[in-house]
Parts: sequence; C-alpha cells; structure tokens
Amino acid sequence: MTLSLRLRVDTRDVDLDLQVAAGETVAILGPNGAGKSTLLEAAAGLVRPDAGRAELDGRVLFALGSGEPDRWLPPHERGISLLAQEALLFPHLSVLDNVAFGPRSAGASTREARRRAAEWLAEVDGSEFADRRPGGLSGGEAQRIAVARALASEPRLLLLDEPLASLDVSVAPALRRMLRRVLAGRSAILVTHDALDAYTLADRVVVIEGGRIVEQGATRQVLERPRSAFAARIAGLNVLAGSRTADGLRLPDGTGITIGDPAPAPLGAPVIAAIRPLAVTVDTAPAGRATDAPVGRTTGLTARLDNTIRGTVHDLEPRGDVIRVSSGLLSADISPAVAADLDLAVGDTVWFRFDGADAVLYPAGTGSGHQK
Amino acid sequence: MNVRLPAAAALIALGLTACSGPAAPAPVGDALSGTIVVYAAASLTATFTTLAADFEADHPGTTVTLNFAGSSDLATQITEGAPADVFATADKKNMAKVTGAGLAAGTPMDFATNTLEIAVPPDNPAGVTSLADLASAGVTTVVCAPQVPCGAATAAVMATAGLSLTPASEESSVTDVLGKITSGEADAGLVYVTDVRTAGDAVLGIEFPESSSAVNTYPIVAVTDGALAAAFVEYATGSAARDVLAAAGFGAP
Amino acid sequence: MVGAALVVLPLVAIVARVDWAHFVPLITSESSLAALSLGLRTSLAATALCVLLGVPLALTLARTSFRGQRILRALVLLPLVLPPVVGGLALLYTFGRRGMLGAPLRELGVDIAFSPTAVVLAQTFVAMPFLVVSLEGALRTVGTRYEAVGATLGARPTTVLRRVTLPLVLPALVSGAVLSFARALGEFGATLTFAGSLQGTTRTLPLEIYLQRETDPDAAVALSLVLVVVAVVIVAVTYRGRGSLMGRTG
Repeated sequence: MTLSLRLRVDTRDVDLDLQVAAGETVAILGPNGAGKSTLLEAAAGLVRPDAGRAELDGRVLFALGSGEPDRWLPPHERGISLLAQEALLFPHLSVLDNVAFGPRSAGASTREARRRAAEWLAEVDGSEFADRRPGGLSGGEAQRIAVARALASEPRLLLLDEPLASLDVSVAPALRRMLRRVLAGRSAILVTHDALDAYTLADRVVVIEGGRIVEQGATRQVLERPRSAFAARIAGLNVLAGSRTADGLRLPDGTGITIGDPAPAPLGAPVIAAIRPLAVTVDTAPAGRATDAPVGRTTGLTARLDNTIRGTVHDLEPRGDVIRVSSGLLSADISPAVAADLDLAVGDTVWFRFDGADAVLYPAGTGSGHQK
Repeated sequence: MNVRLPAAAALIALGLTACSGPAAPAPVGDALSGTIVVYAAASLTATFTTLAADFEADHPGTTVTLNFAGSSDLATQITEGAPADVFATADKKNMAKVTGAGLAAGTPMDFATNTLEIAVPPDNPAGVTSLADLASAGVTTVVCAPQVPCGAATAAVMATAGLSLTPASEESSVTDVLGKITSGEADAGLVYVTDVRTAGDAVLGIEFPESSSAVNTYPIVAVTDGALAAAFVEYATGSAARDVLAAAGFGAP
Repeated sequence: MVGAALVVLPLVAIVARVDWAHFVPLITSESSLAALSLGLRTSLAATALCVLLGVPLALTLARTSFRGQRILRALVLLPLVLPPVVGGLALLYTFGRRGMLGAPLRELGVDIAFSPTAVVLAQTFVAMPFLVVSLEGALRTVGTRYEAVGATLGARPTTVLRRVTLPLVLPALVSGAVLSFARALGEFGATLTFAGSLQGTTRTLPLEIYLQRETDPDAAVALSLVLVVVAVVIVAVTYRGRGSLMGRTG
C-alpha cells in the first residue's frame, strides 16, 4: 500500500478513509462540496484535518488526535505534487524554469535541473515552448507544461484535481491520452466529474457524497452498475427516486415502477432506480406500438415495456447515431428514424417506457456496504 | 439706532445716581460702530485678543475680528488684497511691504518692543547662565534661521557678543524653537521674552545683557480709512494697551 | 472636470510663477543643493528601511491571521491619515532625548535628535504605509495558489518566498517603494517637529522651501517646481508599473 489516508474535518463535515496501492490511480467522484478537494488538500498538506492519520510509502504525513504524538509534515516534505484545474504556471519564469522548479527545490544545480526539465518537456511534447513565458500559452499547452512540472519533482504521489475540466473539448482528448501514458504505473488520485476520465485513467473509483465514501470498486463495475445516485448520474444513467414497493418503487406523483431486481430495502424506504437512456423508448401515445423497441436492450430479445411515465419534451439533442429525448425526469436515446417518425418537438407530451428488468434499484443516498 | 443705544444707556446710568458701575460708560456722542478686521503678528495673539475685547467693551456696537499669522504671511495676504482694516507686525520690514505698496491709510506707529531671552527646560540640564554658554560644545542649542526675524535678531546679538554659534537646528519659527526646548530635545534656545512668558512653566527664561543690541519694534497702521480703524490704532498705542502689553513682556517703544 | 481643475490649476499657477531667467541659479544655490542632496540621501535610506520593515509586515498582514490583525492593519495605515506634525510629536516622545526609546538609547551613546537619522525615521514613519498597502493588496490579489504549487513541488517556505511570492508581487513592491520614496522626499511636518532644520544635516527640500519663502519666494517657487516634477515622474513611473503588472498576470 502506497498511501493510507484517514481524516476528519469537522467544519466541512468530512470523514474519509482511503487507500491507494502502489502504481494505482484512484478516481474520486462526487458532487460539488462532497469533500473531494478537502481530501486532496489534506493529502498535500494544504489543509490541516481535525483528526486523522496519513502514511505514504511508510512515512507518516500526519498523525493528529490518533493516539500517538501529533505529527504534521509540511507540504514541501511530503513528495506529493498537485495538478489543479488551472495550470498555475509561474508567470515570471520561462516554461523550462517552471518545469525545473521542482528539481531546483530538491537541491539540483540550475544546469542539472534544466536538463531534467527538458526531458520532461519532451515527454509532454512541450520542448518547443521551453524559452517562452507561460502567458502566451493556450490552456491545453499550459496544462501539459503543468503535468511536466508536477512530474519533474518526482512525486511519490500525484494529485490531479479535475485536470481537464477547464480545457476545450478539442484539446482534452490529447491531454487525456498523455495523462494515461504518464499515470501508468504511478500512484495517483484523480478528482473528476467525467466518466470518460475515470474510464481512461483510473483503476479504481471512489464515490464521495456528503463527506463520506458511499461506493468504491473497480472502475467498470462502479460505472456500469452503480450503487449510488451520483455514480449513476456520472455514468449517464436515468435516476428515479421514490419509495420501495413490493415489486419496485413508487414515484412521488404516485406512478408505480416495476423493477426486475429489487434491492434489499424495507417497504416504504427511500430507494433509487437507475436505467440507461438506451433502454428507454418514447411514444406519442400511451399505448405502445410494435416497432418502438428500445435501441439498446440489455436483458433479452423481446422487451416487456411494463413501465410507462408521462413527460414533456424539454430537449432534443443528437448524440452520435441516436437522438436524446429529455424530459425533466427521464432521458431516452432513440434512433433518428423513430424520432422522425414521431415528429417530436420541444413541448410535446410523450410517454417514456422501459422494461423493469433493465433498471437497478438500490437504497437512496448510500452505497452497498457503506451505510451511514 | 446703534448710535442712540450707548447714549440711552448713559442717560439711564446718569438717572440712577446712586449706582456707580465698574465700567465707565462711553462718552455721550461716541459715533463708533461696525466691524473691523485686524491682522496681527502671531506673537500678539494673547495681547491683541485682550485688547480687542477691551475695545469692544469700551465701544459697544463695535466688533473687532482678529487674524493672526506670521508677519510675512500677513503682509503677503494684504498686498494680495485681503480685507484688513488694521495691520500690526512684529517687524518694520514687513510693515514696509504694505506701506511701500501704498496700502496704508496712515503712518505706522510703534507700539511695543520685544527682545530675545535664553529659554531652557525648567530643570536647565546644561546649566546655562549666559549667552556664551550657548556656544559651548556640550550645549545643544536651537535658534531661528537667519531668514526669519527672530533669527536675524539672534545673529545680531551673537555678533554683538562676539560669539559664534553652531546650533543643532535653525528653525523657521519661534514656535518650533520653543517646541524643541519644552520637549527637552534641546538644552537652550533663543526666543522672545514674550514667548517665554507665554510658555509659562514649560520653559525657564534667562535674560542676558546683549539682548539690547537687537530690539524688535512692533508697528501698527490703519489699512482702510475709517473712524473705527483709526480708533483701534489709537487704542493699541495708548496707555491702557501699554499695561496689557507690558504684562505679556513687551517693552515700550 | 471641476475636480481635475482643482488639481491641475494650482500646478499651472506654480509653473506660471517660476522665475525662469534665474531658475537654474535658484535651484543650484548652495543651500538648495544641500537640501536636495540631503533629501535624496535620507529618502533613499528611508525607502530601504520601508522595504526592510514593510515587506515582512505586509506578508504578516496578508498571509497570516491572528487576533488583533485588523487593529494592527489600521494602526499601520494610521500615518497615511495622521497630520504629519502629530507623527512628528509621536516620534519625539519615542525617539527624542527624553523619549521612551530615545532616553535609553542616549545612555548607550546613540543620540538621534537633530541628526539625519531623525529625518530618516520621520520619513520612514510617514512613507511605510504606502509600501505596506501596495504590497498587501498585491499579495491578496495574487493569492496563495502559486505558493501552494511551489510547496507541493518541494520548495521550502523561504524558497517559495524568494522564487514565487516576491517575484509575483515585484511590480507592486517596486511601485510601493517608489511611492514611499516620493512621500519621503516630500515629508515636511514630521521632520520639522522631530528632526529640526539645519542645512546639510536635517533641512530637506520641503523645509528649505518653507524657509526660503520668508526671504526669497522665487527660490521657494523654483524648488517647489523641482518637487512637482519629481512627483509627476514618480506617478508616471508607478502607473506604467501597474500597467505592466496587469499585462503580465492578465
């Protein structure tokens, strides 16, 4: 185990316990204010938890109120680099000297630090910027340099706080590929809102809500069969909240939903059903026609479209080879042919239908095995 | 109306023969009334405030407005057109600026003199007793700069005494010299007798014979043609004013 | 526009009063040169002292939080709004011969009264707030994010200060120092009250102007113009400094 981190910050209602194995990249998912940044800042030494203990490669980073004498290692002695949403390159230093900053701080001579910096610049395809000031770089270029700078300090652990969030969609993929390359075999914690980042970069996903870990597991397992509402949303699933009934759940408006795989929750308890938009179909009349089978069925050849929910079209959005039809409650991905057939327009009343066997039901607000 | 009121008061006073008030009523037929503005040197602040109040009491219905500042400032203000009716300076040079500009309504009259005195802190830490002590090495002495009147007087007494002074500071006003002595920064300084008097217990004054070689004369003149201005000039040069000025340390002209 | 006129007209008026025929002799007279030279030397010393004392103070105000910090900030800024003569009196009761520190110092053989040191103290007293205000503002604007990055890259706090914080606020530090220098050069009230006035020792340019006014108004006007020109140059330099700061971080 490279990192073990346990911390409590009372003012932010954060209480977390996290492990990162050697060479493992862990993605942290969670809504804003869930405690993700607190976790990174505490690990980096920028925020002092009220209590907790952290160890990195056998070295104690901090021990506060944990029975042993309190210890607190300042940020510069931790060997933990932080890469933020903004590149934060030092504006008064050249790109090369930005990257050389870590080696210089570690005691290398200017010459040696610059030599190593040049290597890392080459690693992120940034050699051409070496003599430039950061002011003239684009967001993507600056973030690449920031990656080189973080890695040049040879950290034992790399923290990435939404490193792609402020980048243009056109440059994000290239940087994501570069991160995938440099994170391979490195211990890292990645905070993200993007399922694609988690899929591409993380070995494991930890979901945080309300300052607590609500779900964790291998990336694919968590994102394809989420047990938390947040992970379901991140994974692009529809989320329906209601109360547990014998065969599924009842929505607040009284609509009953039948679910194929009922969760172990007592009757009447708050539950959440998640279903993929591809498993939902749309019609302009309450009674279904034979041709409108969902585009993506996952549980068998014939759909038993036993659940119907009425809604108003809020948005129609082409997504690759499907059209996403959204109401306030549900989204359905339907084929363009069906969409044209139905002649849909924003404001139309429609009926969403799906097979209960395609939905997953779980207790609301918590994940499996992580009851509050 | 203003003319009749004092007369009426006088009649009432005469009617009540048994009553003799402390203040003599103004003579019947006194036609003085109105307001005059008197520009006076800063060193006259205390005495002229008293004189103006006494004058107003003697001539009910009159108002004397006072403006005090350095003599050169006042002279500049008057030549630039400031509304002064009477001008009293601490030296003849600044008076000459006003008369030379043709702004005086009469001939300046000398009404007071002022001489220098050694001022030391109350405990006289350097044990100063004579003018010669100011020139000795262990005494921190502060004087006025030669450019200002008190500094010119200082240079004159030093020349008379045949002393050469190396002051710690040459201040631009008497107030600054006094400030250095009351705060204990300096061991001794040369200021006017009247300044020592005004400072009270804060400083100790030491007279010295050479002071007679630099006597500062205070002239006064009416700037505007008017009975009231003329009356005030006459009052300031009269015997009642002499007593007030003497009490403050001023010498007779 | 009336506001601009209120500022510009007096400057025009003083320029109009300059006796150009004798301008050079007036400002190069022995007493003028002595005052100018003394003023420059003491102001440079005061500026150095402002930087030496003001940088740690600004860092303390901007980067730490403690009880009474707001009160400390208010007190540090006080000389900006205090009449200089009050500052002079306060210094007198502190460093004067009978002052809180002055008396013990005198026992040790250090006599500040009537020396250029007193001038430098008075100038530093009134000028330091300019540096502290300028620098603290810049430190707050820059924020702590760059410093955090520096620390996570392994730089110890002194390295972060030297290689990150100070370079980032350098434009503000320079403009603050220049403003402090200008304020020191123009300092009058506190110097007059505290340091005295002796040619070549404590009589700086404003004191020389004040004294010359008594006998030689033309010399006073000529020297005033010198100070006006210095002030204009300094304001221009400072504003250009601000511009380049925005250009670099924007």
